[in-house]
Amino acid sequence: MNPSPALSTRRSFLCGAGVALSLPWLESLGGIAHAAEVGKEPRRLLLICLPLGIYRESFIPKQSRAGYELTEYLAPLADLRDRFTIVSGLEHPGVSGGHAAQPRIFTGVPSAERNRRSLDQYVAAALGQHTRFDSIALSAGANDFGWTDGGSMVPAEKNVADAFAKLFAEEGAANKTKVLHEIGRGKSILDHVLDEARDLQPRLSKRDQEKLDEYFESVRATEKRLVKSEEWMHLPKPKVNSQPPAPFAPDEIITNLRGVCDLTYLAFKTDSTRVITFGYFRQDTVAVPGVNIGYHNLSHHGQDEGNIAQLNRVEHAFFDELKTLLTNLRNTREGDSTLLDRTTILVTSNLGSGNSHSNKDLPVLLVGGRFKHGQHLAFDPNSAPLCNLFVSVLNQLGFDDQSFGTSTGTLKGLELV
Amino acid sequence: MRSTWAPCRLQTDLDWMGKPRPKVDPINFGKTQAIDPNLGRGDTFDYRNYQRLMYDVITLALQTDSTRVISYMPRMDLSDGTFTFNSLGCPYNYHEMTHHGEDSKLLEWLTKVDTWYSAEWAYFIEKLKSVKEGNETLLDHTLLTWSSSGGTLNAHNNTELPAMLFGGKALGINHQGHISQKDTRLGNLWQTYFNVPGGQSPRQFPRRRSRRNNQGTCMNPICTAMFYCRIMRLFALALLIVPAADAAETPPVTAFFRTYCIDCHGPKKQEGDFRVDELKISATASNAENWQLVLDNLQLGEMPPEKAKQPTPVEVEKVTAWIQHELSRAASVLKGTGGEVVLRRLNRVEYENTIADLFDVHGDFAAGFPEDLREHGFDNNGAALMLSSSQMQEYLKAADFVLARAIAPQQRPQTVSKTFTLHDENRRAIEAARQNLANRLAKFDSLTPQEKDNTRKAEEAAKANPESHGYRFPVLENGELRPPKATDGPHLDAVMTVQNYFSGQPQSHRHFNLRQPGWYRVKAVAYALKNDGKPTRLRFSAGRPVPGVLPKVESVFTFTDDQPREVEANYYLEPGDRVEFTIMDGAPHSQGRTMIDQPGPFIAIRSFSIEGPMYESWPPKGHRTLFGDINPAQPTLEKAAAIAAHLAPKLFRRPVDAASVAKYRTLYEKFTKTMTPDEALRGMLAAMLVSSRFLYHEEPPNGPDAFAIAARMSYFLWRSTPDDELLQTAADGRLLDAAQRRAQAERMLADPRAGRFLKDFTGQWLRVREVGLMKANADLYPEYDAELEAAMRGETEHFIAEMFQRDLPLTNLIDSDWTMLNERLAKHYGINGVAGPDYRRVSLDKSKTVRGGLLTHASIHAITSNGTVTSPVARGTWLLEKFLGTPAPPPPPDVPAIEPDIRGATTIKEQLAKHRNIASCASCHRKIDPLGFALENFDVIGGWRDHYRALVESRPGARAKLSDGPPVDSADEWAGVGQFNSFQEFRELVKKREYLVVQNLTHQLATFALGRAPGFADRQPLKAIANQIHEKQRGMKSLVLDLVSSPVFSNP
Repeated sequence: MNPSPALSTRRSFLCGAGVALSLPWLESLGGIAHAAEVGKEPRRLLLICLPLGIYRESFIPKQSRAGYELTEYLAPLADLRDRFTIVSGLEHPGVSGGHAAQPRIFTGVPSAERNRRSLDQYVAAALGQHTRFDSIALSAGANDFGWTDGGSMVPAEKNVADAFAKLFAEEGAANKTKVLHEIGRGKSILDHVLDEARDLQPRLSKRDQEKLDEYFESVRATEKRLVKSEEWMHLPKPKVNSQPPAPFAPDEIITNLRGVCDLTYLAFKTDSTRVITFGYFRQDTVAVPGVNIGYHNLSHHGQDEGNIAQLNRVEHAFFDELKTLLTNLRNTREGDSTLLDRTTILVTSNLGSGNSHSNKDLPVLLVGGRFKHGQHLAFDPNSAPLCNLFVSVLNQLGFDDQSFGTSTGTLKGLELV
Repeated sequence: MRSTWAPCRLQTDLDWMGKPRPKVDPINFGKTQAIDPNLGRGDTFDYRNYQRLMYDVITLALQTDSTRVISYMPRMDLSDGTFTFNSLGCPYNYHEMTHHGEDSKLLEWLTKVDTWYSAEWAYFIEKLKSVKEGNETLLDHTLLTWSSSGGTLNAHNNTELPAMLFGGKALGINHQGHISQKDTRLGNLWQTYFNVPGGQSPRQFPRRRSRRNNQGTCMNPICTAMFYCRIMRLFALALLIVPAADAAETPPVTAFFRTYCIDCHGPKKQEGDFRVDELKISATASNAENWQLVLDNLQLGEMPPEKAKQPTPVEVEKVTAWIQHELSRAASVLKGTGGEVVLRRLNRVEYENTIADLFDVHGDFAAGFPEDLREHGFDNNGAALMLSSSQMQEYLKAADFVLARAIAPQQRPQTVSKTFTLHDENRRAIEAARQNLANRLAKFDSLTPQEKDNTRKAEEAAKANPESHGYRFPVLENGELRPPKATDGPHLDAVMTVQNYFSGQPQSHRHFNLRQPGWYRVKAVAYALKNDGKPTRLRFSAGRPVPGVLPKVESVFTFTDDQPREVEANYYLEPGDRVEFTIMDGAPHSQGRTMIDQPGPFIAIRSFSIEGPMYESWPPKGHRTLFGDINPAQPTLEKAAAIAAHLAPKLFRRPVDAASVAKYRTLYEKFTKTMTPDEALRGMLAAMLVSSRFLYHEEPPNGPDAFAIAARMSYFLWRSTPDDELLQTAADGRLLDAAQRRAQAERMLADPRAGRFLKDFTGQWLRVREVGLMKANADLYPEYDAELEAAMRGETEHFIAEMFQRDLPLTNLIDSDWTMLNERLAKHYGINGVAGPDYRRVSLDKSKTVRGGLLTHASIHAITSNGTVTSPVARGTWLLEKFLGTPAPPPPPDVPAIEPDIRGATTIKEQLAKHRNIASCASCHRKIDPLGFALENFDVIGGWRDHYRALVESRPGARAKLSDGPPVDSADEWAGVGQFNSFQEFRELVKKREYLVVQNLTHQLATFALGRAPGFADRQPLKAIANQIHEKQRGMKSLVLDLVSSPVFSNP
């Protein structure tokens, strides 16, 4: 089990830390981040899904192109107008089933097939090489969006305080030794069971051998993860001034969301990871002033005005928090640009309409990165898959992939600066 | 692959474009004689001429080096009779003859026809031989194989495949007569071809132009091997393929399809994405599934649709009989899993149960496991149970947790007990009030006027009742309630009522320090008071005291009279857990004097107590499972090996050979280099807990052995690992015997662990575990609460359990004159005379209530609603999928969804009507929607309604009030079954379809039992079981036992 080449490079690089420290964007970061990518700016991806939809009339502008009027939800983002694009009319072809489409929002895999490979996990394999965590799945109520190539869901860190601790809480020296010891033991255990499973293999049918391959892959991937954690155990965690998020009641969805947004900001700022996903969701009632019906029930508003008014409050709260996050990213300089310039943020939903549970005409808000923003790209229904946007995002992140999922190309009308 | 190949192909084509094609002597290629198979079908077709023409072309292609690889299927005698061997006098078609069933007549003709083919082949060989190439002949430079993908066509099996090799003398091939090898892969022969002198691996195959003959393209994957011989210039491989069973249409079916089906399911239209003209009878699972679909639709009368031309019953009978015959033949070929995964991972529930049963360790160690995905409706499906590295890490963590709990400490932890009485509570409260008053008096001058006033009042009250001021619970003496006195001893009972009006949580906290995880006994002595015979309930609950987190366990006890009774419950508790006692029925919140004046009901409490940790034995169960009689203290290499040998068969559910044990011994040894012996031992044990042999159901490839069957049984009926007795019956082979399996299954079903199976199966099959996912809209359904929600699930779970325990006829699923109710649900259903929280069997007066049968269960209505409105589509789909087992196909991709509108302008029926008017939706929604509408009188929470509920604002801004909306219309027509005007009439129609319900339950149980969808070969035996159950009016228990003792259970 040799350390991955990227990490070795990284470590040898750190030996000559003088060079690293002269890099401009390291100033604010304690000098450990991005070291492996001299001269190459880091790129990041944040994927957010609202599994109950985003009330269209309050979100999608009536007009298309650059001259559109800001809608109720977009109003808080007014002074970021040139930093985002609204896209409407996209869908995942072959993905249906209302809520069942939720885990497929960032994979685009048609419902008839087994779900696998989400955008975040795909990019994390490359973007994650240089950070403590390949990717982080957070949750403001939901996150079943991350899927491995093999078709397993990447479980989310449900508790934001635990996630905070993982990123920033330094282990005591004794504990560190213990963890290192556990990692070493874990590697030996995995070697052993791998060897044992190899003995088992010839005794299985072909299909079952394929199933067992999954076991092999998981064991190897786990070993890799252990190796990586071991590498990083020797490096101090970044120091942040913020306090860990305080506990909150389950219905305090906004508090939860705020914690998740703050953590996202800190994780990007300290370059602890470059890929984050989270969802904003709650089945039952939420502690939002003026709301007394469950969030899910509200999404089935049945065109009832009262329901819609309450739904607006719940969703508006999301955009308020999003604004804070985006503003933080924009106000934080990194090297010769800002975090927002280096972070692509995609906000969407698996439901085009919460009321009908339709999986067509998905709402999309694309922020940051090096896209030419400031417009509403309105596509005709059925004319373009959401995966085209994923390809555009991939290219912008520096991947030269020509396709992803059900894509038919890049997203027309979306250009780079 | 494709992307790198495509440019090469184009380049090759370009390269060759500039070169002239070889010139050959003209052969009679379709000029004077027809060779288009469509032109010359039947007796007039000159088959011999066609055959020779093909061989001539192949020879020319090789001769001119236009290609070096050719595959060819010489047979084109289709089984529909369009190509016959009339010229030979043969009265049969070829396909018919292959299924000779050892009939001498058929065999005789088959041999004659095959001989004719051989003669033609000989013509070809002679031809190759006649062409000179260098010093040798074309035959010498060509390697030919004549083979078939069918071994014995009569059985349609694919073993013992015949192959004849020809030519290749110049390539060094020495022919040697008949080589007979069993259990050898045909691929080995192809591998041999790579090894001919000058041969190269297919990777270096030259990209030279090859004009493939389309008509003769081999359909068989085995001809993908390609070869090149540089030295010999010429090399070709011809494969003669006699397909096992191809394009088999027989006249009755063909005619039938042409008349009744092809217009909608043919080249022109493909309704439901289904074509009959492309159906093939061959022994593949997917083909068979398609035929099954045809059969089902014909038998159910679903097809042809009513408006279309209808076949006569005789015609249908003839065709269905033919399909059935062919299908049962295919089934005998397709024994086994139909390619489904049998290597199942333990799912979360199975993992937890296994750990609990092996080690008596409980806790939330599996909470971080990724969710198990569902396939075919269940979360124990092998194919869907993926494994990721996150899960692997969780397994590593869980292993440490389990070992930390299971390995007993050197010293047995002391069992402690503590008793709390309300008498003590009163003493504390009185003392606290005294202290409080003293404190206030001490700083009296600094108090606000209001506080001063209160303090003075308290002072007076304390003076008036110095012994009892501040008490909370009245004391009971001689049937009278009074304030406590200083002289009262703890022998007097005190009285409690509902303690907190908001949360129902107790206001006094008494601590019992829980340091050791384990089993604790919780007790109370109590009785009801002033309750007028009404039940009053006391609840114990335990779990993390976190708001919003439900207790892990709870028990509810009902007291109806004033006879003191001790109630107890055993809980597995962990440090940090809290045990709570809550009074569920009582007078409104009050205490002290005010309580005495209340009318009741109360609960009189003598004491609460808690005791633990309790051990059934020492060392405890988990420790014994791990180590048996071995003392793990001061481990040595030998001890470690002995422990591995002891534990492995229990963990891996089968005997484990010495070599595997030795590997664990080596692992231990490796660990001791960096760890203490104790740590090394734990490391070795942890490895065993993340072993694939523990985490997966290991089954030999040729079918389950007795141990695999034992595991199948226990994970089916207990959702957990086999016990010692079951493993013993596996060890001595008895489990291979159906009767013994049945006996074991009966034993297992009598065990409390069988309750896990019933609950898990019911929850997933009927989806009732989803009750509560969508809470009812509080404005529309103010009566909905957590108790009702639990009672909904409770009814269905207890109903199925009752059906199971008493083996009641399955017709009860459709309609019954009884159901399982508790007070809350009975009230919801408007049924009187049911008191208390316990579920019991209640006889239903069918003239007064619609209830009875699953279709009237509120749970079903709730899960098919979204909390605000009911969904006839969801209900129809549930009925088709979960109840009748005849699921509708998924919707086509581009259907507009329904936008619900509850403003009252339109009813769901009107909205859905729009939907049904769209052509692409109609065919399925005609099947789905009416079934849903039949249940439309049941509202979102399963209450009966004649009108939809609506919210009306009396004036703008005022709180909306409930009122009657439009009337409910549940009349519709069940396509092919009949009209109905009400739910009750619909239920009568369902009774006519009872067999479907039985068959579906059989199928669902089998899916759950096997962890995979039943394969095609399982259909026949499952059908036999369903028939038996249906005819004899047996119940679910018989069904389960029949299933376990059937071959389905012991087949691969």
